[in-house]
Amino acid sequence: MANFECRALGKRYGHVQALENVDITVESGRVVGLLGPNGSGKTTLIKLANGLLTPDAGSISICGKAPGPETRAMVSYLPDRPMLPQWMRARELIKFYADFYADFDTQRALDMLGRLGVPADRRIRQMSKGTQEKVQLILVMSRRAKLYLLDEPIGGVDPATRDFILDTILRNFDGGSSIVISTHLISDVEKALDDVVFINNGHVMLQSSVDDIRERNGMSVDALFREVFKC
Amino acid sequence: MDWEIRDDAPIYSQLVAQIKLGIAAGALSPGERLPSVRDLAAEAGVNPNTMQRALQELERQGLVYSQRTSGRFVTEETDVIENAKRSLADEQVRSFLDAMARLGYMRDDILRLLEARIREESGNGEL
Amino acid sequence: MLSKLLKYEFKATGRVMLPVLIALLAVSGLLNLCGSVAEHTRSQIISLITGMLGFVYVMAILAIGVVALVAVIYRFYKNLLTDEGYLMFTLPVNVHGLVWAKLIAAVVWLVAAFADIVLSIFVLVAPLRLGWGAEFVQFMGQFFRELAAAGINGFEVAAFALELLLIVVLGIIGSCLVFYTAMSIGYSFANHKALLSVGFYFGIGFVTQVLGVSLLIGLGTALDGVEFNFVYTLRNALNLGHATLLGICLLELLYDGALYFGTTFMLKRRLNLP
Repeated sequence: MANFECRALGKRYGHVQALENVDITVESGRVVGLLGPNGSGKTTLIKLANGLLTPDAGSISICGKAPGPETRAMVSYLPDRPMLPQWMRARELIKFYADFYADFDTQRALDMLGRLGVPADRRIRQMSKGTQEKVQLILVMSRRAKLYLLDEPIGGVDPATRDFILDTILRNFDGGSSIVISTHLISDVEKALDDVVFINNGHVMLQSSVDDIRERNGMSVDALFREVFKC
Repeated sequence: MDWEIRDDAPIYSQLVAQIKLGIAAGALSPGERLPSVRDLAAEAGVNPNTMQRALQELERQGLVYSQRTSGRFVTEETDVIENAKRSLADEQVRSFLDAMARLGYMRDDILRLLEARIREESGNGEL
Repeated sequence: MLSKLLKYEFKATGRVMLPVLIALLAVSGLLNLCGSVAEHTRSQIISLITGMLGFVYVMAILAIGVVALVAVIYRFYKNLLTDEGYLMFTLPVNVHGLVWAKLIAAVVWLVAAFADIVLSIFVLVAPLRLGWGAEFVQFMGQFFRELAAAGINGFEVAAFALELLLIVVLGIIGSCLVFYTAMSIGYSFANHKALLSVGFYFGIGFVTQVLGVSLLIGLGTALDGVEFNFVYTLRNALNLGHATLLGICLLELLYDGALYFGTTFMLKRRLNLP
């Protein structure tokens, strides 16, 4: 049973077809890049997987179950925006996560926070935007989830932060789980991925492993992406 | 080790080549214990699955062996390492010859150029 | 999970509500202190301060109302319909838990605000008339004795009190749910979310009015010409009272239920976070 699977998935916003007939399978242990230009439907797909949107057609399953409270216990989600309440302290948020998620590893979160040099008693409001993003990532990656859905985790961050983020992601996931990373900055994450899914205008254009693409085309996924999405 | 991943070849084969080079050049000594897959992957900035695949390929080639409980080690069989070193050297020579051929040099010219170069370098060495 | 949600709900709202509630009591305490001092000293400055404190006190009462209302509406909006919604709606809880946590906290804070205002009035007048507590107890005792003499026992009084309490609580829940429903519908649209919410708030109010009036007219028409042989006895009067109050409860329950369904349906099926 795949950790994440969608079949003939479709979603419309009014007259705009955001996703159409999307089939994706993510097996356990895989790190999958969901690649596409802005507005291609990446965020819509991830929101559907989290049950934040309801599909118009097709189905989504996470470890065989449709999105709901039960799958949310298995999915660790990093949205493409700050979601943490501004008034809460880092320590309170760690407690919050530990309270709601049985798979949350408090010690790991505190360790990462310490490595980052963020005082646990500082409020989110008092942190820089970059630090807020890092705290959010630490909370998300401190869970031992079956599926991590990371929406643009490296969008608009400096190279040092990008390395911290990728390092955190790669060090914290283990064999039984899977990661889906959505991004339009491919060259930065390419080395971290097993497979890629190219998505454009709500359609899946290509699904392949990174090394297959490199072997077949003699070029990086990033170069292939630029060729496919020439603008 | 310094890791450098180029864009034009599969990542896993580059990892195999670089670790092999490390072993052949002695940066990784015979019998040395390798870091865990996760640490190696994080160090190289690559996916752990890809690193795992590369190490399995090296195991298949006999350059690395794993002990179920204590991890992975560089082989202690020096002839295997010697062979690997030799095949890497052959590869270098072949690509050198290819490049020279493309420039239009014949075998005799190539040998002359090589000898001159080596003499020059050893001459500098004596200074 | 509801208990965990409630814990964080009260943490978030208490941060705003508790200081305001305490401040009102402090102002009323200070006010009567100054009042009694002013009575004895006739100092101009003390009178002036007392006057100002009186003004502050009235403002504080108004502030409590505003803060409580804002806490109810804004908290729902901020926590569920803005970026924080990404955190809340991906917790392993269902929509009912999220809405109930908001409702329970809202009822508790609105009741607490009301109790706080009543308490502040007691604080304000108490020291001026020492022994008011005893008088109050005496008064209540007499009240119950007279009721008992008229044939209304404590059980009856308790039942009425319970019915009234139910009406108040259901009423509060209903008034919160109108906001929740209006925002859940308004924020399901892509644009003009806030404006649409206001529109839906008045829309729901209008529909409620129309339904209420139709119900009254319908009831009047249905009962027109019906002969009542209501024999006036105390028992019958009390029963009529209970029936009326329970009828109001039932109507409120229907109203609240419809709004609750509307809110949870929209949040479950039509959620559209920015």
